[in-house]
Amino acid sequence: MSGQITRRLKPEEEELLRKREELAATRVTLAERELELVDLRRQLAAFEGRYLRQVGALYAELDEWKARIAELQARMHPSVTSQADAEEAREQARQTYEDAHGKASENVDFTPSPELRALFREVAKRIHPDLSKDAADLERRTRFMAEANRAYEAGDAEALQRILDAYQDGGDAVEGEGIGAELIRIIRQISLARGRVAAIERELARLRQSEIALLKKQAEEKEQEGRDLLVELATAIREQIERATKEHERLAKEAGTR
Amino acid sequence: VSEGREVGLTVRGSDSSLTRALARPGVVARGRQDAANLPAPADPLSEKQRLAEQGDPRAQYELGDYFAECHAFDLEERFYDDAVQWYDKAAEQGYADARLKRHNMRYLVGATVGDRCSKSLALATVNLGLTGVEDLAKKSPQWRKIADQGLAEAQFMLGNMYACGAGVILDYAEAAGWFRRAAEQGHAKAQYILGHLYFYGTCVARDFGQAARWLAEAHDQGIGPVWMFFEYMHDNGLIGDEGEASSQKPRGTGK
Repeated sequence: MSGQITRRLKPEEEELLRKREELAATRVTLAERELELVDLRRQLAAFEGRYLRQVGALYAELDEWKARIAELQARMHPSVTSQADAEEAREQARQTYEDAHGKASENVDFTPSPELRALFREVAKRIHPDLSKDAADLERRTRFMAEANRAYEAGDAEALQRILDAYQDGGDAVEGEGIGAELIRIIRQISLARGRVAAIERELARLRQSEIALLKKQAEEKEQEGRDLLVELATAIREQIERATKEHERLAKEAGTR
Repeated sequence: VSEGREVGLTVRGSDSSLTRALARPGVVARGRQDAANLPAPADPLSEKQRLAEQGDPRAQYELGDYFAECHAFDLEERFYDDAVQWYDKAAEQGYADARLKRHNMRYLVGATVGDRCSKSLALATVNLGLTGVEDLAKKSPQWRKIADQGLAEAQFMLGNMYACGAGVILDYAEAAGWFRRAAEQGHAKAQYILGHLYFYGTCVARDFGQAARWLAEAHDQGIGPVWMFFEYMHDNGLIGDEGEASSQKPRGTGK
């Protein structure tokens, strides 16, 4: 016998094929968005770290001088108002110091290699929690995905590869599953994945409107003009610090001679 | 990523401290506010001006150059005065090049009474940093003889003498003729001056194509600045992108 016998597909089989393709496409989109989100988070964190070290620390120094000035003034002219002013200035100095020297100030620059990004995309496509088939699978995928995020942010390609290897995807087919059951499962997976894509979009939009993202945008606009926003800010604050130290010195002298 | 700060909900006694705490911006928000109020950047020129005013002789000299260039281009009186002023200041501090340029500017004095013709000629010579035209003028008969024999350098010097009235009776048409002869022999400085003449229509009919041609040739031989002429001609559509006579668009030789 020669020739291939081709069987005409039943409508539900055709539909299943279409849905499988749709699921594959959604997985690609989801992986892409997931990558975008982790990239944006990391870039903002890196910029925040740079900002806090270059500019935030100077604000802290400035506020410290302002607090000392207010405290001196309160000592020289004791009153309820001057006392409250001094307390407020001290509190501001404490908070600014906390902000500027907190954990975020340690964030370093982030430039993932194309290989690392490709690897993360692959991991996200394969093991995304929203693509899980049942509760146990979901739990496993969630764990792996969190690890993948950490590995990516740390720039650890080896770890990402290990995660990919360790996660043995059993394939989409479930044993003994009929066409109808598979169709329903795939439709649910697509819906879950789309829900997650929408959630990521919302999160991206929220992040892009955050103070640090807006500041970063301002810095990028300045960069277009060949200017460095952080350097200019630092210069402006240093001038204020200089004025504040002089003011403090003057007051201290005045307080000493009284 | 921290989202600004949880604004102070630690109420300490009075209402006013709550209000104050609420008004206390996070360190990122503060940067955003201050970034919006940063002073406009000092442009390089005003930065140079600042340095010059503080007495930096190099900045004074460069500012002199700048105004001399402005003057060379649009022949405005005030630029001439500015150039002289800064050259003088730099020269007072012993900046030798400034003294030289200031010396050359003297040739312009007679030309500052609004005579466009003499000015553009004299300016071109100043731009080139020519000196000692007066000394040379004493030997004018010899120069004329060599110029007649076809030596480009001599033709060029003769052109300068006629342009300044140094040792000869001031005669712009005569000057232009000598510059042209030298330029056609490939004398770069003469080409540069001829470019000026065509640009301003001095002693010759105004012709931007010719101006572009001679300025570009001078530029190719390292003589300048020419950028302001090309910028003007391009911006006003006076020459095509090809620069008509020149395939190059010399730019960026300016400040």
